[in-house]
Amino acid sequence: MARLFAPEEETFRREVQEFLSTRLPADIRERMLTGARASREDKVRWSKILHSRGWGGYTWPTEFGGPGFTPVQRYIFEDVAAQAGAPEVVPFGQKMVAPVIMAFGNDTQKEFYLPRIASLEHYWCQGYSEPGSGSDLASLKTRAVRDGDDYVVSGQKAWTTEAQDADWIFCLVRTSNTGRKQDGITFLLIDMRTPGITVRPIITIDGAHEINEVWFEDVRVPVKNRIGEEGQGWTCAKYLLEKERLNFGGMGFCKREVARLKRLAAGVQRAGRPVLEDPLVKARLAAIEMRIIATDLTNLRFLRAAECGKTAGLPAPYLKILSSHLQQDIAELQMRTIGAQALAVRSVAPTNQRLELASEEATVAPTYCNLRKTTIYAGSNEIQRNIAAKNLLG
Amino acid sequence: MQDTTRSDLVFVSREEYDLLSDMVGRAVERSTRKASTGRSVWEQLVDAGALSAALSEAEGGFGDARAVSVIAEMLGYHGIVSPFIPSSAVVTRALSRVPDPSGSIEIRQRIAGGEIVATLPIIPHLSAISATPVESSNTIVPACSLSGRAQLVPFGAEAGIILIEATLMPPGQTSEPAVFLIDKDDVKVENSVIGIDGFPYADVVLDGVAAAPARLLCRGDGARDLMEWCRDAYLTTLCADALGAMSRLVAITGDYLKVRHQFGAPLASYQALRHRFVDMDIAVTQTRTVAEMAAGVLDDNDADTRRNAVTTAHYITVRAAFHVSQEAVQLHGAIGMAEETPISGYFKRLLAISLLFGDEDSALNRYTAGAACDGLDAGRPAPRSGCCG
Repeated sequence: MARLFAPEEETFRREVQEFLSTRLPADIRERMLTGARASREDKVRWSKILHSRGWGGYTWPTEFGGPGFTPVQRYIFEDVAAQAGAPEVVPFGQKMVAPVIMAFGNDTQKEFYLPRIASLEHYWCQGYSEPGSGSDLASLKTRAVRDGDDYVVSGQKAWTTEAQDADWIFCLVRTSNTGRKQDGITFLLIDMRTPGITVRPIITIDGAHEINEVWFEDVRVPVKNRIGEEGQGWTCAKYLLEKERLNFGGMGFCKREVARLKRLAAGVQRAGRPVLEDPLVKARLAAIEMRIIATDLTNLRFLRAAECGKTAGLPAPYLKILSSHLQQDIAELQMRTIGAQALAVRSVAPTNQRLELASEEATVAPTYCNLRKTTIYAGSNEIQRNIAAKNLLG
Repeated sequence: MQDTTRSDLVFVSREEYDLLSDMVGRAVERSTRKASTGRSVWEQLVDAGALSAALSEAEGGFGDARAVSVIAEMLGYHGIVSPFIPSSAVVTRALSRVPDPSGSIEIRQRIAGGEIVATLPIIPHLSAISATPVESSNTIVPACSLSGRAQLVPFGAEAGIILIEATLMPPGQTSEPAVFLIDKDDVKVENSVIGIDGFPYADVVLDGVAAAPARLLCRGDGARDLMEWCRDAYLTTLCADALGAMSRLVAITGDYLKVRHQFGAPLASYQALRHRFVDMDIAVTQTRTVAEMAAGVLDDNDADTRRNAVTTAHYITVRAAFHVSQEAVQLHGAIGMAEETPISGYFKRLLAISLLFGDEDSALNRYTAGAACDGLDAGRPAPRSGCCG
């Protein structure tokens, strides 16, 4: 008989569970487990608690102040934290810009940025996509022109998640129009308070303000904020994609939402009996649960292979595709299960406020709408299939 | 160097299993040159020690379902028709799970040595056999007379020994399940057929077969547990077999996309086909995960853990089997319809595997009926509260 986890990994799981049960603030847990989205304040509070435990940059090696978790420990940590109702840490800092700074930044940059990312003193957002450059990211047009010790940045980023909350933005900018388009791209870190930056909300189909346009009008960015060399931005971006997608699982979140689905559905009757006793609903739910198990363990299998220095399949694209569909399908089943009760999402005038804090059911349909993003963001699933196909077929 | 603790983890590969897989692969390849060696594929597998692998460590095997699944995957990959699953993966290992009243060690060794093939009726609703204690027999372990019919027994005509589940009906007592070991010579074989997958099946008919007390392996809960283990073992190994077949279909289809040209370009240059091909590979990737998981926990003492893992493997594998086999034909185009195309055998084997234990709806039913529906941590004992039923 074999086991999924080693004894020391089970011990670690209990340690994380104990930490979550004692240190995660009850009000945040309550909100997360009832389908609310974490506010900036929630994330800051939780990050500071993690930081006080030395887990602020929990994905980082000890060299940079992280706990040096093994890949499987990291997987366990995220699984436990999500199920316990912890907000996801702001990924743009800890999981995205930080590894690039570690790999390509100079010592001054590492010393300045990394501790502030770990403590969430700096809240980051990501300036990649533009109105004309989505999947074809390398065609981006936001210009950075060298002027003395500064770059002068002009252009527009789009679909920028949480730019309204962010202190800093990491951007891919065009520093050259000659040669291969990938080679004219540079990686810049920009303070969001710099004059010339305007953030304009984009309201998404769920009625929420999560993403933005970010406009740059002659924004002066010190050259010392450049990561790596001029023209090395695409290399940084690709490094990020390759390094960070291995842990795309998100199955902790899915398990949490399935638990919520069962709880929500327990209060709903259909044709005179609890909706969870409807064989069709049971079958849909069972199918989703078994897909979660399979995807969760596929993630673990990839991590085990990585531990042994092997590769198994195409971790990043496959996990992204599987996980994104599961997230959508769970939200859809939540909505189908509670049925018409999912309809009421707003109160009438005067405030036009969202009802989600007052009624858990009111979060369900907006979340379904919101999660349509999962198959589009972070490289659409079509781009993921392109990457995988190139690997398989050349 | 891996320490032994880590190589005990599901998904951590063991070097000896990689070697086992290579060895089986070579044995199969040798058998395709039968003219020069004069040995059939089954004989080659015996020579390579593939059947002994199913024995316990003490008896010279691996004592590990993962080793058995490695072999089944390789046989599936090469499209080999053999009784490896019923004979080695299931009956050999089942006999190690019961006390040894009947010389079962000797039987296991004879199976491993290729002298004899074992099988069992595996589909519960196609088997109805009753066992009546012979008058004046010992009431604790009675001699019995068995009658009834089991349909579609894999290798029913070829097997020398058959593990039979029967309903034991002691006079004046409640009936209970019991498991017997019956010799081929005592049964009649009818309706021998070749399945769509090329595997032989037959009805096994018992008409007052006398079973000595030593041939009653277990009864009551013990019999129920053993047969549930047998069905889970069969399913687990079938998932590995299907994984091999699917992997081969992906390999063949990928090669075909690269060489077949239409509109002046290889099929592999068209995005619509590339994306469909990726989805086939994702299905295989998921299947590998669940097949390895099921093999890893098949011998777990906790029956819920095992049921949960095997049911998930069944569901994911059958879904993948239909998807991958249908897509392999579609991506080949008209040539995919031809019997002589190398994919045809795999297509039909996957079809048979998907039907033998019921399709994925059977897995859904089993999942919703059991504690498994609280089992989001497959492979880890799950608390049984909050069942979705």
